[in-house]
Amino acid sequence: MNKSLQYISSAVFGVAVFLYWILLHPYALGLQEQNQLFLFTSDYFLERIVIAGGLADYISEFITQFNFLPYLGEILMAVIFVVFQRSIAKAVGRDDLYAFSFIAPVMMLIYMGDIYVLLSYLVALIISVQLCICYCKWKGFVWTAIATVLGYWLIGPAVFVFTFFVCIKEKNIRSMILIALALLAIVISKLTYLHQYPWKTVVFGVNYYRKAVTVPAMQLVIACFILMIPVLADYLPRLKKVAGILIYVAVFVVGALTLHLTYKKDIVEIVAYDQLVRHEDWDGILKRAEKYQPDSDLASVSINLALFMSGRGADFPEFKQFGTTGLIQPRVRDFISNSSSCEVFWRLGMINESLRYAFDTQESLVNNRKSGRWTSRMAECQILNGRHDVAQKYLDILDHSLFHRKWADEHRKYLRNDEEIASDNVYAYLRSVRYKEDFLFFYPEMDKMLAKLYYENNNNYLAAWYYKAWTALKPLNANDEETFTGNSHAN
Amino acid sequence: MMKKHLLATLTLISLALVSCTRETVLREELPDIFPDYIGVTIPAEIAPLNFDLPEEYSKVYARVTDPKGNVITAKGDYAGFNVKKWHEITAANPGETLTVTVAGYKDGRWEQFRPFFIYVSEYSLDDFGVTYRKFAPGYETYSKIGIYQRNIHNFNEDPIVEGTLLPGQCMGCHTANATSPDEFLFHLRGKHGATIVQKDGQRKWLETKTDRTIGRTAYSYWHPSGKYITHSNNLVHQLFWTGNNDRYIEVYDEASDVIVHDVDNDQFILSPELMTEDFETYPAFSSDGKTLFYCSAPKVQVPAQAQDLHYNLCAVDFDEETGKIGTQVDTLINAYAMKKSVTMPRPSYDGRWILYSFADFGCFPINHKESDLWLLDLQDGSTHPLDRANSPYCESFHNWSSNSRWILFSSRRGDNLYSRIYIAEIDDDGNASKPFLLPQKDPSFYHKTLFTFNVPDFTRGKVKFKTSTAYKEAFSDERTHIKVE
Repeated sequence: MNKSLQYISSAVFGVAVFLYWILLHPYALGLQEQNQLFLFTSDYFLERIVIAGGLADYISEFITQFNFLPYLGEILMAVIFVVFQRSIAKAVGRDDLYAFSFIAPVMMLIYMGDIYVLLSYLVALIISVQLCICYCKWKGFVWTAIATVLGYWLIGPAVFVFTFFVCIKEKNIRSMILIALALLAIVISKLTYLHQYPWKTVVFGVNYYRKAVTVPAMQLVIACFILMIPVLADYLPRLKKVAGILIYVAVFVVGALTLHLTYKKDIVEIVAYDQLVRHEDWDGILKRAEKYQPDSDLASVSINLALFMSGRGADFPEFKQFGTTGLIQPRVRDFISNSSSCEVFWRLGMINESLRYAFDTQESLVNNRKSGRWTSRMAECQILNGRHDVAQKYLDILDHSLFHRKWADEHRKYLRNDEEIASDNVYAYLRSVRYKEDFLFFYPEMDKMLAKLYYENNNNYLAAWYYKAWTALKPLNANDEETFTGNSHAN
Repeated sequence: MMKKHLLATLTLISLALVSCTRETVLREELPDIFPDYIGVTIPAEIAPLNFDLPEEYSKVYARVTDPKGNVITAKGDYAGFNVKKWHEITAANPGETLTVTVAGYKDGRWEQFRPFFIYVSEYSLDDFGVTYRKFAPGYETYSKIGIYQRNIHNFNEDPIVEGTLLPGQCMGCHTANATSPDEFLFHLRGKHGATIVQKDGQRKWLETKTDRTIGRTAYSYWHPSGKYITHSNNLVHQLFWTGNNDRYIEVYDEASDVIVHDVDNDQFILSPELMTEDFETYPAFSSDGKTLFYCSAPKVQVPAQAQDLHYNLCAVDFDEETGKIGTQVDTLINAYAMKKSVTMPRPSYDGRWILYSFADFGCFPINHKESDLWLLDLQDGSTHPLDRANSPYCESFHNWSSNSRWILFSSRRGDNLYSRIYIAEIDDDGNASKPFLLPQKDPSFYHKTLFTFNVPDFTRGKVKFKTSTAYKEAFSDERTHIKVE
């Protein structure tokens, strides 16, 4: 395959990657940005680098922060995937096998449709393949040994792609020492700095996947696809042009089939709604819902909020409803289920509930990441609650980020300054419509709490609307009167 | 000694030069330092009390002088003292006063503040350090949680066990036997829950749920012999305050009992006196092991009447030889009559005092801003608040040093949310000194951290916990089931 055709195919792949994120997983990259808070501090760097794979993690989080801006994340992903594909092609070094270099990137692209997959695995693989390229240029045992050990620490077990690549190329006993070295690096890491991690995590990567101690098969399959090519390069005779085209077709077919089998449209939509709520794009939510509404109460939470916020509250019956949990979710321990409910509470003036849901959503990031979105919301809640020292702590943290700094600086004026809070339309309104009395929140009695909210401030039309919607969707229960708040607080 | 004098002289000269050449402004007021170490009492050889001035001061200069004229200094972005020199000057001055002079650099000149004093106690604090649990303070979810130990003579912190090792499981309180690093337990919550008891290098993963008790064990306390542990069984719930700015969470028990656990025989000893319809919780053995203290509240309908939960401090006899619990219950503090609540009794190891939380109501004072620390004098039955240790914010989760001369506790006085560890001296009359915040190398640590310090305790030595097999042991679900007597 001539060079220009290679460039064209890579460029087409880059465009396909861009369109994949725009069309098939819109807003998914925004969610990834939401689930981390990259800080320009030495502490942040050190926290990453003391863990095996920390450099890959740091680089990936640095890149992911740019997902905050529309389209930039998608463009960056296109570039990264093309770099990945070109790196594999370069490491293999045979023009006639160029089409094979798309297999692993296509699989990786589909794999990243899973919202738990972190960019750090792709970054680690790219670095590992770059090491393979270096090996092709400068063969030598000493530096490959050092790169294996150091590589494990910096990019994690993805360094095995490099290690096995060298073994495949060398085909001698000495190269097996590299595998022994990599394994030794794992054992030493586990017994020293990583002793607070299970073996499985240490062996398969601390931060490649957001769920702890989970190793999806795809993670290994992709690594195998990368390593498959140097093996083919060693044993396959030179391919004819037609074969190259057939491989392209095969890659396309296998990729499309895998995508079809793994694509989860409802999750894609829920993620999209979440991000649209984040950016208050109420019309955007309703337009999507009118085209396709997922069978999910999670989606309903966003749709129902959008209905009221866009002045289309009366259209409520026109959308599929899923009971009261489609209005406000009970607390769920993950990083997406409660996000729209958190926004509902915020707009209702139920500040403490918004704070709770924001906190629990952020803390559901099991890899101990924080979130710019939720830290900002927590800071706002603490400002309204008068806990300015805590709010300042959050603002100071946001101040070290690239894209949340401006927001944090703009909100410093509210710290310990009641006049500024009172002069802000949103904050003044929320303070005016929140509860006047203290009582214990009790989800099963949401209707009573909403009624109380409206009763205490008749300008809280959102509370009235949610009350009506709640009573309309609530299943009838003969024992309704025997309730907790009925005995105590929220009468 | 000559070296010290020379150093002191040079320091004074340098300070004088600084004063002369850069027009040092002398300020009448005390410096606004963080942490507030002004007038605190410290044990010798504690970690240096590093501190900082407000943000407008770009540099800090601090000079510590003892009565003999020895001097140590610190200069930089904050006052960070050399650990060895700090130990030397504090070890050389038990019962003496150290004078601290502070200057801050602002707008191109130094401002020197009125000196303040730090008192070095004549009582030592020889324990290795403190243990605590760390997590983000909030509601029901923690992305990272762990039990840690910190050497209080320097700044080294090590994890004992972290959530990364046992993912998805929540860790309860680390409970040592009178600060012993060799006898401790902690509870693991979650799908693979257990009570992990480590004694003499052996550890057991216990299933503490039985058909004769109401649930798994919660709050625990070791018998001084190490042969028994007393636990409470609590059906814990939490609800969330929704309308007010001041309080967020209310933890209450739907039911609770107290039991005794025979450690060597993996057996529970039950007593009808400690398993009544009322709520019994927070048990603790006396230092001689002959009395079992606990808190008890008359039953009310929860959560509707959660604000009517008032816990008394009670006591029953305990016979170490037979493992028998007495039948005569004594009420030591009738908090119910005062419409108050006594919780978390912690007897001093010398048998003289009980340190406890005193709040308006409920069993979980950490969420009660009004919660203060009080002492019960076991010699005469009198009680009094630890005025100098308390603050307008919550104080709770407290315990004694091994020599019973120091207490530590967590307090939210910093920002009304994040608990931090404070240490205070208790004198012969039961008065607390002004407590000092557990020092950190960088004083801004507390502002930056998103962790709260919870359930602190002293530890005489470094706790050893074998992490290499912990994951397998936890997730195998192989448990020793507790028998009931």
